[in-house]
Amino acid sequence: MYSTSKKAVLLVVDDEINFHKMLKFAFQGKYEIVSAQDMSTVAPLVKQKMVDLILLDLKLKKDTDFHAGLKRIVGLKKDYPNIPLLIVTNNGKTETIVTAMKNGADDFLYKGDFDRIKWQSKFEKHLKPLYLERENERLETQKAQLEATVNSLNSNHPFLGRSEKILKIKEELSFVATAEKNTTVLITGETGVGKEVAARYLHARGIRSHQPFVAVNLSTIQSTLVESTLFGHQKGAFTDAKSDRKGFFHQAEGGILFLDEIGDISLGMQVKLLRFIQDKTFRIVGSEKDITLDVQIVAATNKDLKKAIEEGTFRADFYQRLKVFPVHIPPLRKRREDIPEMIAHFMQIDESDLEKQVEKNTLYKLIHYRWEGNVRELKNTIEYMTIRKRLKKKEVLDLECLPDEIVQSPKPENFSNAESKFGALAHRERLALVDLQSIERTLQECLDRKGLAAAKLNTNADGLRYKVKKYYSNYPYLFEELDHIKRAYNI
Amino acid sequence: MENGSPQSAKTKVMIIVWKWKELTDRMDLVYVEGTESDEERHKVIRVNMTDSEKVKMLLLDLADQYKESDVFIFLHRSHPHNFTDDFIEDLTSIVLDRQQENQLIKNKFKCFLIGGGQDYIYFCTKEEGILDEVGYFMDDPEYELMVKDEFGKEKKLQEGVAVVTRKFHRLEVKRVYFNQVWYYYSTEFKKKLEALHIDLMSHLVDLENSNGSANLRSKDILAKLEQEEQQADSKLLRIRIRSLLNVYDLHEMDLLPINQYELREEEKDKLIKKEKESKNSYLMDDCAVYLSASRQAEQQYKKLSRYLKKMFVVPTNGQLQEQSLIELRRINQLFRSLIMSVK
Amino acid sequence: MEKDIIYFFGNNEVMIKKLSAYFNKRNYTLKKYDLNQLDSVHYLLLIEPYSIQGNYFDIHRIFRNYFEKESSRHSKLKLLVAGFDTGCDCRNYLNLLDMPSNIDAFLLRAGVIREPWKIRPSNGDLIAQLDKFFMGHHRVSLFQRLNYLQFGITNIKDAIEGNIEGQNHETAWLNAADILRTEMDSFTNRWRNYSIYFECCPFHQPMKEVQKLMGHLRSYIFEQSDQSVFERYDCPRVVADIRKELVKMQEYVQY
Repeated sequence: MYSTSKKAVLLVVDDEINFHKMLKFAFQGKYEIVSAQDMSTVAPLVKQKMVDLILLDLKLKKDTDFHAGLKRIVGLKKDYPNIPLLIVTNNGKTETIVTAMKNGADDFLYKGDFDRIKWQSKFEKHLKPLYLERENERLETQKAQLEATVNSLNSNHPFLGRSEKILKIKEELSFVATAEKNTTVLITGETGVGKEVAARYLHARGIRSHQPFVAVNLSTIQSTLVESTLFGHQKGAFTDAKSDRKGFFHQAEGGILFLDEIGDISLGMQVKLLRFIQDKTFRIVGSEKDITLDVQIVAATNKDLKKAIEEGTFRADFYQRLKVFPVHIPPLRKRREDIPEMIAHFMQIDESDLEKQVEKNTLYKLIHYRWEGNVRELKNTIEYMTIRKRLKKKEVLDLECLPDEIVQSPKPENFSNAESKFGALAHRERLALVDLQSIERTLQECLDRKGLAAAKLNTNADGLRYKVKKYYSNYPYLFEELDHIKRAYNI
Repeated sequence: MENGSPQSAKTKVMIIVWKWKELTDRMDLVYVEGTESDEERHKVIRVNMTDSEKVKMLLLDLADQYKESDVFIFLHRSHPHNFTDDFIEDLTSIVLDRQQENQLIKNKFKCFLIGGGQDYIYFCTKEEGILDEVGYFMDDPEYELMVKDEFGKEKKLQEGVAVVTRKFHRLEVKRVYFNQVWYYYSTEFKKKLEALHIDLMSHLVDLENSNGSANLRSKDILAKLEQEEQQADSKLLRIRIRSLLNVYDLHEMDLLPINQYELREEEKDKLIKKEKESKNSYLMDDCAVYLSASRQAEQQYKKLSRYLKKMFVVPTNGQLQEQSLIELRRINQLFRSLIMSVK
Repeated sequence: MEKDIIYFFGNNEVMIKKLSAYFNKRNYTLKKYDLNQLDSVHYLLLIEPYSIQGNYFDIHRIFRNYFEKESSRHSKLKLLVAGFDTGCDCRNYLNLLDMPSNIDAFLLRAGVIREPWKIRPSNGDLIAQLDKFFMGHHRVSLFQRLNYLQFGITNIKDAIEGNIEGQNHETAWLNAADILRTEMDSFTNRWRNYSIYFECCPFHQPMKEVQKLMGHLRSYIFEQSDQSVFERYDCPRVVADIRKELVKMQEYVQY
């Protein structure tokens, strides 16, 4: 079978329900089997399911003669000349098959000769041209995507994170990227959470991926120059305008203009941007002519815009237009499970090697630090630690490599919250923690009597001791709050 | 449905008529299992009615109501006030005439005489029918039947035998039993004629003297038949032939005295006894009535009947003796033609 | 092969007695032909009609089809038919109402199985019944029933062998159980309704074999639906063998 991400869709037209059932079972995982028990449902199914091959029982029960089946072949071939049509018969009579083939059937199968491999190879024979076509399409798309990625992701900032929150955001961004090319997106989140990275993620997956991605940090531009920087200016429009200059809107034509720190612009500028979002038109500074450009706006801010509206520094109508598709990226401390992946990425190592490269307690500290500067701070910290490691000639990143503020940092606010703690742990650690918490509870119930606790846990005192010690040697950081265990086993 | 009996889209209706004076007049309709609408469903209608005229009116009404269906009527034979041949012939003729008027001649309409628990319609005859010995639907939870399965293993039917089942508080006849009975009766007359034909020819043929025209005198044939009747494994050929004869053939009534070939009560009893022993149906009276009324077979039947009557004519003078020369090949031919014409 | 033995097949006891006496008188022995052996013989006399449950059938065509297909073993066979069709003038037909004046000459003149002789039908044809057995009343053929047994059994086999992703004997059995039980019942019902006709067929013996195979399949489907039973009986092989035998037999059921 040719490799293809989408399973070929086989439409089975037969009034014998059992035939559908048997085929679905036999070819599960290989093909998507779609059922039609009469001809009335064929057309909608072909359209809806993008059918790749049709299997037609030559004789349906209501047929009075063989000609009804032949008519169906002719009709199907007329309507769907490019879809292979295979005839299925209950008898293997040569004359039946020959007549069916003469009337346009591409091939035949005899139900009495059912052999999964044989049938599959017959399907494959007729699906081969389709697969080749699909493979070509796939390669074309891949090529285009690669080009788009190179084009748009010249920065090495992938949108990291596998937490449920980030996966949901990725899913939403992918959706908006492909669904509506003109939807304005507002990305909110604390400084350093990766708002631009998210915007680039959206760009790379969208229909504008072949077009430019232009990022502008509005807080870094002098307020008086924001308009000309964005819209461009004509020679002489203002004192320093010595020549015509195109703005970022022109640069982003056909693509995405990412306006970071949108909360920092003046009310006047907000009106002009609002006009663009509504009508897709603007005026170059110094010109009286309206210009229409196809640019998608993705804005971002770390400010509370609702509060800004209340304070009168942000227009409510502009805000409404901006947040057509709002995306909020949570701070890193709210999604600590993403941290190991990020550390590995910034260290340029494989995540599976993380435990070898970072000492456990250090990793624990990194996972549970506050990270008020979010991903950006984490990235800087790892770069710092990597340098320290080199200087100190260490094999692994350990506590000595950590910046002082992390070493001395208080316990994270949610440390006692098992949910939160749990999320950041690897699978084996999670199991260990669950087990240890159970031991902790049992010891508490048994007033720290180890023998009794062991019995309650269906083991003996030695077995329980061995287990606890083993856990401690592997995951010492899990014991921080397990006071009964620590007391009972002198940890 | 895999029951080995022929199926057609046409609805089949069985009407079973009893004349029990002890019971009140009533009629009930029982559907046969199936997924079709009630109208299209096969049916069994049970009637108890003592007045023959009322029965006839009812049956004509039912025949009219089910004129698009195939209808088999089963009339109780052994009651003291049983249905006469006239009754059956009259009923059959009227219905067949109506069918012809309405161009429904492909529809089946047949009357059968049943009784005594020895006909196929009774379950006890071959363990395939639908009625118990007193005429109710076979539905006996205590009935212990040893049957052989398809692999020859003998097994006990623990659950008893029920040819009916209850669906949503409604009695339904199991399709398999209905179909078996229908299939049997759809060819019953033909089968009886074939059996009589082959039994008769096999008995009468003389291989040593059968080259060319094997003519036998009627008295010799009668002697052979009487001899056969004495044998332990007798098939009662003489009585069976008499039960087939068209007694009231107006054309011949003047020529031959009825009492020479009319089936007598003791002969009928003998035949019925034989039927019970052999579990075969031998009595041809209902068949004869049907053949008399049948548009397709009537003429062939009359020809055969007239020829067979010659066997029972006691020769009194030379002229009659001459008339009573019987050719086996002629009997054979007449039987074959009649069988071919029976639907 | 003795030339003075005439084998017969029929169930009209009266005629068997008469024919036996007739042939004895002419120095021939009439001997019953054993359908389980199907020996190569010189003369096989079919006594028609053959009665099955009160119905009368011609059986010569099914015998002729069979011997024609198997002619290498029966090349010298003269298939004779005795009956009451006085209009039949075929040289292999023994007209019981017009016996030949010289039986030796009749036997000599009769054609061997491959020669062109034809007996006209005079009773119901057994082939019509057997055709119904294979093709069904609603044209739902016996093979159609077998097809669904094969689908179910093949899926179970593939699941056991790990050819169907994530499936095993249990799941495959659950998926196919209803279909297998329904189809097996239909198949068996049809078999039971028609098996009476096999008794007078020359392929009576292989039919018994098929019946045995059906018993194996039924054991798995209705009694012990375990993988071990499936494997012990080699159910896929059983289905294939049943089909092979039935296909062969259907070849004899031709008009």
